[in-house]
Amino acid sequence: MEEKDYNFSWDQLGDIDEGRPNLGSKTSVAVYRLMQYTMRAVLEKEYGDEQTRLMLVQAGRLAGREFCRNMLDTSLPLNKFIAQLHDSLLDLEIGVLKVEKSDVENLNFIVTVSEDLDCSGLPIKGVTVCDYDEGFIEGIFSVYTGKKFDVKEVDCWTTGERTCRFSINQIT
Amino acid sequence: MNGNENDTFSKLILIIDQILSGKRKINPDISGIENCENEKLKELAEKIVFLTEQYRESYGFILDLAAGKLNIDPPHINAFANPFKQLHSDLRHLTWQIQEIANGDYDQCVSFSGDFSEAINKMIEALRERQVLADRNRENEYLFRSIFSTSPDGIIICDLDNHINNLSNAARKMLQFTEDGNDDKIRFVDLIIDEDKGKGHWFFEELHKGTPTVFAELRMLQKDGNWFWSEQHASVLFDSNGHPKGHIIIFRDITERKAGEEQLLKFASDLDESNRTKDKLFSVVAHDLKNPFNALLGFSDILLKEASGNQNIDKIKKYAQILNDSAKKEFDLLVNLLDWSRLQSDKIVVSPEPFDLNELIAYNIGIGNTTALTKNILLQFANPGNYPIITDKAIVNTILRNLIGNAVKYTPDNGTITISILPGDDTYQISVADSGTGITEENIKKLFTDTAHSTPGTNNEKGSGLGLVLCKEFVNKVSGDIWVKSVYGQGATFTFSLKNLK
Ligand SMILES: [Zn+2]
Repeated sequence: MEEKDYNFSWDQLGDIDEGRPNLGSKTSVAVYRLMQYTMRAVLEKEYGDEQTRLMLVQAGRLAGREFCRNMLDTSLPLNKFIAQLHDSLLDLEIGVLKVEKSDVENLNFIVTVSEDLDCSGLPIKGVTVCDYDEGFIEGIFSVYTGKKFDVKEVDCWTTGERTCRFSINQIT
Repeated sequence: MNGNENDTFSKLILIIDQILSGKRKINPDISGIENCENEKLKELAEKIVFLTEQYRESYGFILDLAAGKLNIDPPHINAFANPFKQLHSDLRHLTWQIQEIANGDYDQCVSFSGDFSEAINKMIEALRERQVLADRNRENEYLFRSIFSTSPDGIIICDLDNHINNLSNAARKMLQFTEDGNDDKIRFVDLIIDEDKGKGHWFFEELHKGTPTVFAELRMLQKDGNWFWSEQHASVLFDSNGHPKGHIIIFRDITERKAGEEQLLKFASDLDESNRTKDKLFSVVAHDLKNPFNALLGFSDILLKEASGNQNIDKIKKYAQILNDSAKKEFDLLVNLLDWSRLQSDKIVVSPEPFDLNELIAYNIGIGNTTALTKNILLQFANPGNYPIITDKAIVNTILRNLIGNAVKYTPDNGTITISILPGDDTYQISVADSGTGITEENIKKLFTDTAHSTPGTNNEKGSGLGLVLCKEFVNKVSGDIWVKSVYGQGATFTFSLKNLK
């Protein structure tokens, strides 16, 4: 998964403090989901389900890379880096990150994200929907380690779980 | 309902009974279902089989979970298992957190189950505090070690019985201990010389009494048997419960400082002595200067009357003689006093010149004879000859004048004074021997340093004692020495040495 040259830079997010002096930097989860799932519906209609899924993963990956470069301290050792990631996902109200397993030597992890911004509370439909999150996690880990990763959402709210579970494996 | 449907229902009821009875291994038997024509019943049967499968899978998962097997993969998409998957996930995360804590990551914060997480988080906090303490202890230990090994002062650590546990590098060097020596059995007091051991015991008694730091100056023994002066500061060392566990002694070698102090003390005492000498001298000199004036004034008065009266020439002669003697004494004393004062203010510069000692001795014998003859004293030069020398002539003259003058003064009538000279290699020794009263042993000691010893002459002549002090200082100026041999009652021999000053 080579990093493509997307026309994106962090400053496209603008100066939120200046732009929203009264409303601030937060918005509602419903608004976020409204945008994601309407976009998803349009893309599925235009490009089909699988192509849409891949596009969402790619967008998440781009977001994860930029987020890691602009918001995280990549000089920290792994355990401190994960703690930092946990704190910043909590701060940004994206979800509660928990590590279930970590194989530091082979860079294989299983993590869960509870109260996930994308899926928690969605109707159960038997398939995972956090495709964007898969890419997001992959982008962060690949920038931090400089290695390539395969991230899969194993369990999701939409498969009837209370928490989303991701397996993160280094591609050797 | 036909027999086939009935049979199917019976089989399904059996399956449900098995589930309800809590049986774990259920083998759902729906054989013959393919012959069933009731589509709804077929669908129900298939769903019950699927349900059985989910039940079986979740049952196994829960049993594993109950057995503590967290490393299993939880069932995927299984409504029965979902709540337990959450528990499984929490337990896995908790396990991971505890592993991280075990690896020293005390930033973990456990959120699993209220009371449990509170206890664990307290434990993490305690571990973190212990880590901080351990880090600080390590830092302190490192700091102490570097002080211990680099301090120029010696550091000794003893147990409460003062057995030495540890010696710093500087202490080893000062005490001449070898690096690998076995110093376990040595007690601190063994390092103190016997004379100071009492002070050493006092040192530790004070510490036992609770004095926080004790200071003492002790002489410490070295391995080679020599000792050195040391300045010691000692404190009690405490264990973590605050109980005394030993002593730390920090010391430095102050031998040089001690020597300096002693020198200073001696200097001060010398200065004091010399001041006292001067005080005495001045009182004597003042007295001696005044006395001849009494004679001068008294007899000149009488002389004036006699001269204007009956013209008794013998009386006039006698008085004139007394006047002359007094004036001479006054003059001699003044000359000495002037010389001495110039010496004290360091105004006398030694100016060596070549001359013959023979001439100078003869000249002084001539001067001495004016008095010696009045006492019928034989003043003789034992071995006249050629004695060329290069030294300060005026200084040697003063020495000779004083020694001969003294000899005449202390030699009784009809006595003998013999001056002799002993040439050596580039040196001369000149002796003035008299047959006078001699000098007591006690007086010999202070002869050249103290003016107060002065005893009256044989004709009760007064002396300031200044003469010999002056001789000593002068002879030292020209790199010579002066000494005296005398048996009381049998005269005295003063000898001084001279050398060529090139
Ligand atoms: Zn999800």
